[in-house]
Amino acid sequence: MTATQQTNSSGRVVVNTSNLSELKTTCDNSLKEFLKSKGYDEMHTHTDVKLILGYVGVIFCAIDFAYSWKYPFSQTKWFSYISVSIYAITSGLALLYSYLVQRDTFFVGYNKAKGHIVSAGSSTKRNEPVYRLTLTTRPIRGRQDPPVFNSKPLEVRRPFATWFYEDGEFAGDKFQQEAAVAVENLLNKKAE
Amino acid sequence: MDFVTQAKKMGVRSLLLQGLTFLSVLTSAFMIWKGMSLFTNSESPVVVVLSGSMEPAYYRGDILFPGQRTFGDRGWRGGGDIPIVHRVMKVHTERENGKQFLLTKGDNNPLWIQRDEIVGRVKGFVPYAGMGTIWMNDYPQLKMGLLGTLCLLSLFSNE
Repeated sequence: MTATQQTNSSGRVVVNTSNLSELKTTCDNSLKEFLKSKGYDEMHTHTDVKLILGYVGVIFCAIDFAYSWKYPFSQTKWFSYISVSIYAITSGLALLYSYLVQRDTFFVGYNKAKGHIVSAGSSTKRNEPVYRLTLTTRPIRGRQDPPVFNSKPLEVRRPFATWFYEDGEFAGDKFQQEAAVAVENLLNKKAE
Repeated sequence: MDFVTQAKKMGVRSLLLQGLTFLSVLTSAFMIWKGMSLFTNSESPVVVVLSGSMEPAYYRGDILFPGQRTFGDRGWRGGGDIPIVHRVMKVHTERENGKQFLLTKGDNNPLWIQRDEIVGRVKGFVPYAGMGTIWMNDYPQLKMGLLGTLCLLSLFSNE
């Protein structure tokens, strides 16, 4: 949730149209809402992996802090080697995961009724007011595999101006109409 | 109660994520410091000079880095909580057990210090870089203010 996004009582969303990240986040949130309303439950695997890695590092850091606070350095050195290594490894893994696995995905939803999973990612290029949306899908297999997608992604590229008024108001319904079309294309492509 | 309702709305995961962002500021700082400690094999890898007793070599506000322990003219003694830097004037080697005693300038006590009390030898220094620490020690409100600002910033940043 951006602090600068405003939704007033009538439900209008107004953003700063010069701020690329705000524009992208607004569209992301709208797509998220759309997919959730279509029966896609959010899968939090990416977040969970990073949370676990992060907190493991934090726990070792806390233990090391307490231990080295109480006892002199030469005595606690062995544990410090371990905890610094673990911290470096978990931080490194979290970073790698973010760059290689998650990339620009902001929503992964699974639809039990329809039996497939949709993953949505988006990106923007500097100084280019274009929303680049990437949608991929895969069927739900027996067990919950890591969300790596094999199907060819559907890419949608549209200028932000398509859904934003000049004053920054977001035309949510227009966006969701186009989102519906995109998702349908994605699922039809899969069936081919 | 407002915090609780807001927290419930945001969801546990969101809270945990924000908590992690905030904690990683603290933990990464500590881990970097610890890493440097292990690398230099000394309790305090970086020290700020607090008094003027080492002038004209080191002034108040300089930062010192210890290196590996060898002979040097500026030894660094870890006595109590705060490491102390002294100039080594003389070395006396016991013949039997090879234990070395060093006499440092500026010690108030007449005893020579033992070699293993030395935490490190000053390898390099950055002048004036430690003034921040001195100000924070002299004005504790500054320290609290800085910490508070960092926390607030990390809470309000979006990813």
